[in-house]
Amino acid sequence: MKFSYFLEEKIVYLLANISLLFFLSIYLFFLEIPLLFLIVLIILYLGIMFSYLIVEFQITKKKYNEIVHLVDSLEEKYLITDVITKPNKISDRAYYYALKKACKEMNDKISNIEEKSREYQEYIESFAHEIKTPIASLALYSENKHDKQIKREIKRIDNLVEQVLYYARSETVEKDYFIKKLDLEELIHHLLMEYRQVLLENKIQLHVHDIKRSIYCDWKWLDFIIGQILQNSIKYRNTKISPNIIEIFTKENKYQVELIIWDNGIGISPSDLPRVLEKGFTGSNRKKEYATGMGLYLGKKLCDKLNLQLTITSEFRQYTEVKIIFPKGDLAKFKANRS
Amino acid sequence: MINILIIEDDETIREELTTLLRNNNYQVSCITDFSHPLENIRQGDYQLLLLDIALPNQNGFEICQKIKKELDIPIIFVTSSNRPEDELKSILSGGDDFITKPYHVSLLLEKIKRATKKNDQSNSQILKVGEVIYDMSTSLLSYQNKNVELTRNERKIIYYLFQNAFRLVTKDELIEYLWNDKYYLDENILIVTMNRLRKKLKEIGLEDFIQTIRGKGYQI
Repeated sequence: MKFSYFLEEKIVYLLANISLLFFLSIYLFFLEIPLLFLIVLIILYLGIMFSYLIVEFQITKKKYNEIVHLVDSLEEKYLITDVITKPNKISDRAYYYALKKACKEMNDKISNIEEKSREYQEYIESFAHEIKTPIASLALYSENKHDKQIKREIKRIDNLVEQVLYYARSETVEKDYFIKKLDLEELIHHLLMEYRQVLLENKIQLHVHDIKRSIYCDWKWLDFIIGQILQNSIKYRNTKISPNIIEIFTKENKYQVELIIWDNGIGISPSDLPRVLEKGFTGSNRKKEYATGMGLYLGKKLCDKLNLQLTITSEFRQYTEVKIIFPKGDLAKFKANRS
Repeated sequence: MINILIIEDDETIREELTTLLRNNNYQVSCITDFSHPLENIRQGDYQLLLLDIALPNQNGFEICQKIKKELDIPIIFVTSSNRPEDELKSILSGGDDFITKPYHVSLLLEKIKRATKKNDQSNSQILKVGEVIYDMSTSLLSYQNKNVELTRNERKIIYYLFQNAFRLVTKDELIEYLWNDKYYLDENILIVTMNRLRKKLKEIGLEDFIQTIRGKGYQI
């Protein structure tokens, strides 16, 4: 807040006082009061007036800064009415009243929406939970009947259900994961076993090496994330070349472990590359069937929540490489201990 | 034979699970009346329990806790929940393992194998088929005083074939076994590896020890 703004606000007061002083001086002048007395009077008058203004400016400025600071330091700004002191000035009271009402109504609306979205999420969770029983029945049935086609379709249904579930979870702020020390090799093995049938059917060669590493992460989330990447590698393989290769390996340095999933699939064109992590992006050149545009978006979003870095590099018709970077060291361990 | 008890209230899953496990040479019993599960468990002689979490009247965690107090049976939880709390609870209540629906069958079988293995220590170091001896500790295959050393992948193949001697082993079956063992190969690589292995066996005078049954698999 600048002093000039303050003066601008006080312009009427200033003008009134100055004109009063002016007429008073003329009046006194004609009464033949000694000039010295008159000057002393004017100086005194102006001095008191300006001191008053400066003091008022300081007080106003302090209050102003207090409120601004309070708002800035609040994480949820709409709670401001609960911490602000009730003003004494009549004009301020009206604003206070308006603020209070507006915030209250908005708070009500927000809690209403939060409630609804929580209910919705709970419904999605229970839906995913319930539908898994019939899917499991069918999975066992197809296994017993050796029906590969049903098996394949069931895997697809299951993947889609998982996507829905993780989408619902990714939208909430609640911490829904459990970070512990994981054996990356076990996790990759678990995943590859899940995708074994589709990998073999599509004659994809796997090169898995250097993955004996311990990392700190949540098993299920990471399983889901890598699953999405693997699905993409399978879906977007290059059918014109043989063999199709997926390579999974890690690199480690002092600060981090990098998990790299490389494939020699159809790749991503440079114009699409910046957009593949966007929600609902299905690509301008890739075949669109079965694409929801959610896989990588969710993968990236969950990585963000887990404090992992996910990057994609690719050359069109040559390769796609997805890298997940796990930070190493005390920070990760500290987090693991806390959860 | 290993006797497994399934406690699961969904009828289809129960039946299909039973079929699956019977096909994999396990003896299977089920509970259909959930009013006294503990009695049922006490009466039979089971080596493994597959336990659902959401059951009528009570939940699987309670049953697990009570059982573990009396008997030393491995328990695997089967559930459609994949929330971390439930997994934690399953560990806290004494469960040995945890698998989520929909089951990945080979994973389930692997877990069952692992859970029941703890009580089964019949792992011998030397395998024999006829005059052919395979020593697991030195990874040497010997026949009539001649030895050949096997590579890591060859060892796995030979081990499986020895375990299933005189029986047709399909390619799919062999591939599945090798995948289970973290050796992710496809059919082409299997054929290449098999040819190399055969050449090695020929060196010690073992011709046609591994027979190829065209389009089906292998047999020794």
